[in-house]
Amino acid sequence: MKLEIVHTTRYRYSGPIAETVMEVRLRPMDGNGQRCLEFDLELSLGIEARSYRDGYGNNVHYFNLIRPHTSLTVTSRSVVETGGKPDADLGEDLVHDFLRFRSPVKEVPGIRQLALRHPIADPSSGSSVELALDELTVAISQEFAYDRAVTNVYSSVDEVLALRAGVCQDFAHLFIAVARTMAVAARYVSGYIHAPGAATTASHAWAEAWVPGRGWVGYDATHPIRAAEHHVRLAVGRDYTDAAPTRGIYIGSATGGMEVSVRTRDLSASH
Amino acid sequence: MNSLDAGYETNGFYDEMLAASGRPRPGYRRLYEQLNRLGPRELARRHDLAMQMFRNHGITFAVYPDAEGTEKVFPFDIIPRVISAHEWHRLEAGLKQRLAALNLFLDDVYGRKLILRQRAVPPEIVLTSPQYLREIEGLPVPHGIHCHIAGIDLVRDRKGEFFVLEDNLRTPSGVSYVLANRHVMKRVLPDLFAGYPVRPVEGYVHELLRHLRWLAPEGVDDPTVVLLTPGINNSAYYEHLYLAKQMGIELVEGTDLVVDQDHVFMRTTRGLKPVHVIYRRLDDHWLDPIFGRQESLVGVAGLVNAYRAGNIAIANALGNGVADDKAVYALVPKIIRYYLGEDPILPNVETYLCAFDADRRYVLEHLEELVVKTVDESGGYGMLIGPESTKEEREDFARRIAARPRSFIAQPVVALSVQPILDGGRLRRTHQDLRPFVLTGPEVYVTSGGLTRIALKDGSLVVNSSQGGGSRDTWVMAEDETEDVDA
Amino acid sequence: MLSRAATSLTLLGRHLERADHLARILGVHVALSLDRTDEPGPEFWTRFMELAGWRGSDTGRRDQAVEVIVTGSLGPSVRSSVAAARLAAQAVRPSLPSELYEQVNALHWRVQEPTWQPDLYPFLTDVQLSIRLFDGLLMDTMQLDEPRDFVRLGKFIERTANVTTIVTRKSAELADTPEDALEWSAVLKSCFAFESYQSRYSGGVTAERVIECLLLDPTLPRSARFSAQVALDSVSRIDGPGRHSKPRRLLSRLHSMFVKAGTQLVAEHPREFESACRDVLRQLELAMRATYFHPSKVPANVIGDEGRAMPQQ
Repeated sequence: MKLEIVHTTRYRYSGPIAETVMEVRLRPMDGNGQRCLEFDLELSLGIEARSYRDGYGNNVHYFNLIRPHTSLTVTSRSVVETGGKPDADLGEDLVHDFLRFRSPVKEVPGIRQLALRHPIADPSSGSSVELALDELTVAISQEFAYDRAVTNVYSSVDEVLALRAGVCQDFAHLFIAVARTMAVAARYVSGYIHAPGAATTASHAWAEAWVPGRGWVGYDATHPIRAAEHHVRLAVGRDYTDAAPTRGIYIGSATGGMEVSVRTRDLSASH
Repeated sequence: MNSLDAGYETNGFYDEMLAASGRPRPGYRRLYEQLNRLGPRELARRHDLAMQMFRNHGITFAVYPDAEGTEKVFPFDIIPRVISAHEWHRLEAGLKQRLAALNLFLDDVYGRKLILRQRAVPPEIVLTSPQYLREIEGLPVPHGIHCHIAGIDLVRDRKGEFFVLEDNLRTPSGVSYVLANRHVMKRVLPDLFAGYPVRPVEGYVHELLRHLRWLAPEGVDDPTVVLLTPGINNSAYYEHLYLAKQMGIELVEGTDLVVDQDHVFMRTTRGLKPVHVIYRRLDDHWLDPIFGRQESLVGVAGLVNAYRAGNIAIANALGNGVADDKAVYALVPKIIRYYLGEDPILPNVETYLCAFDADRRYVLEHLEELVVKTVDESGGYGMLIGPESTKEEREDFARRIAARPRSFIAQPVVALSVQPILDGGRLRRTHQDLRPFVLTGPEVYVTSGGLTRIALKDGSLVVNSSQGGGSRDTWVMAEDETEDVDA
Repeated sequence: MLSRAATSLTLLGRHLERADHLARILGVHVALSLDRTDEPGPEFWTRFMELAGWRGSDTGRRDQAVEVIVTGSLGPSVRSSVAAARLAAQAVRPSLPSELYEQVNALHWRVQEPTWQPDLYPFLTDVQLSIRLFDGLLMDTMQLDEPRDFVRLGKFIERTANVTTIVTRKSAELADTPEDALEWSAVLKSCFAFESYQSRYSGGVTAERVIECLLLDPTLPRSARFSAQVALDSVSRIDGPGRHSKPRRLLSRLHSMFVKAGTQLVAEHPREFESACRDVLRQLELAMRATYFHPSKVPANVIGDEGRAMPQQ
């Protein structure tokens, strides 16, 4: 698939603030069947961003503004090709740090119970692992309700377990927690999902697990499906905090508000 | 010394000062005679003078920030520890070797990971360390030096052999006591120094500043160096204050610095002033709210990206925690052999990694004989001392080990060496360790001796300041008289 | 020097001066209230509280006023001012000689104790002497550099404001009655200037002469004009030659107000004069913040509650 995504974030403050410092992870990743063909980042107020690649391989843009301002707009436009073949070279299986637990992905009894229900018959066999993870994906989507009103961006898995509800960020964290309990390295993916037929797209989150012999395989516990050509990967990490599309601080006594809009176009039809 | 050593026992521990016969070891002979000559009353008077000097000098610390704001003086014993030139020569070589290997390890682990790919050490131990920061992989580190300032804890066993107990590669503290102890000893007991060619320690400040200035980005002629502190609520604040004053550099907090377009500045009364080198006494996770914990009020937003751009030098570098992780500690002898092709000069204490099945089984079966430590904490908390534990405590630890094996290591109880302290006019044995500080820069510099921490509670093996420890001055001889060399 | 340190040093100077001033005027007014043939009514004390900086206070008795001015936490008191001074001193320990810090710290702990009861005067004397000692240590041990200048700046701006306030308020209250000599003497004593006045003016205490002495005399260390000069000197040294910052210009303006003012003008329009001074002082506060101090004492906030990932359905 060939998709164009325009992602606009507008920050507005009740009064002038002194400083903004931000990082954004808005440029889609290359690899594992995905290729970013075009990318453009536009910032208001004439700000120029610099970029680097972090230790997770994420494309990071960053900037700061040191003069008083009352608003800030970040707009990214990307054209991405998805659904390609996965990488032939899996790279090193040095992924053990993705087995570690750290809030919000905590090791709690409810997680262990979920893990016990989906034992992996043969941990060294890729298909055995995939089978268990597929079942886990379905189980999460069935046992947890999708509800935007109950959790927030800082919610950890024990809260989600207690509420039995959350949004895709929470479902991804749940999946990762259980996978790690099953001794499967798992990481968080921040990105977009293109709903066929829908005019717009929204930000989305899912997980990837390291499957022996296959490398990183994507699992979307919200829908529940394997991540495929409708998924666009922006960034990965241990959890939401590593992969968040934007992160930053501002200095000032004003209060801030944020509006986000994400629009997609399917360009594949036009050739 | 009847009045002083009546009733002194060593109970089989290695006593640094007194041999089995009760006579002083060769290196302590002159000292022993002097102490006897002065006698308990005079020594007690000198001790009080010393404590007053510490207070006036501002060498204090806070265990938990005291609501009253009264700072405590770190307990001090006036009997110095003596290390022969010959012994020190070996220790120094061992420390330099260890730091060289650890720096190579850090560079490799955050770079090409050859040691892990070749499975020379188990990746499942290294990468699962809570301090391993994947996010900094690929971050360029000037000169490949990750650990500029290290504090290595050494202990001696029953036979008097030195072992490395722990590495501290992130924000080691205590060197201010080394400097203050010597400063006070010279003023309070100058006569004791007679006949002892004691190597000076005050060179440390000069060397540290030289190393820090050397780290400045290229093209900067007169670099501005600052010491970044979390502030007055940090228990080591008075060391930060002391070192900054001694080096003549500005002591700053996070809010004093600002990053603009990848350059770091200090907020001064004359506007923004560029900063080139930061000696930071802040943990990695609090250093920069954009990089680590977003709620960090003590850090500097954008600092890590400025570092990545090569515009600011930071000592120590990020991510060193993976190398002073207590489980990775057990791998250090292998690490030394891998990078240097040498056997370690200073041995480790035997360590069991509960992450390994066989080790874990052994540990669970021998809890009463071992010391079990958690990998993540410092300060002596989260520790089980087998021989002193209750059944409930052991069961609790057994449960915790089973739940999170990677978080625990165990070691046999090391019978730390002892040395007498003067307590109420009599000698009393206390355990002690040694923390030399190592600077890695244009060359490698080791403090002469280091901080000898003593466990004041009777029989206690715990020497940390936060749990009632103290210190004494440590003398390294510039040269040995032939009869002073101890077997 | 660090902006944050400059802020704290100025506050240190200001709060110690305030503590000294409060201790002084409390002692003087308690004595004044005992000097009359009958007990003064509540308006005496409410006026005193206003002078001390407490607006809308309903404190009408001597013992109440003493308690509030010594220990009050909701407004300026000896205890709260010394506590604020100590907090500021802690924040700038690297810039202060250790004896200075220890002096402030020790005073703070003494003031926290209820030692002011029942002996008020020894307590107030101790406070004033300690602050005097601090001043002496400052002048004697601190290098003639920015840190010292910022402490002096804070102290003498505070003194200028306090002296101006007390003189102009009393001018407005008192209306040429025979008892006023007692009140005016109290004003002089509140500003440590009674003996200097007596040695200079032989005809007794009159309103105009007190105004001349306390506001306009360039040679009396306690006068507003003298204090404004010291503040101006401090800021000139901070700026260095060739830099005429806004604080410097404003202090220059303040100083010239005391140079040009005539005693009769002040005596006839005291409130206007006070108001004009306050106006300049307010601008000075803002100018100092913008020029020297930490631009935002507000901590950083995390941006947004970003990216609540959710699919369209």
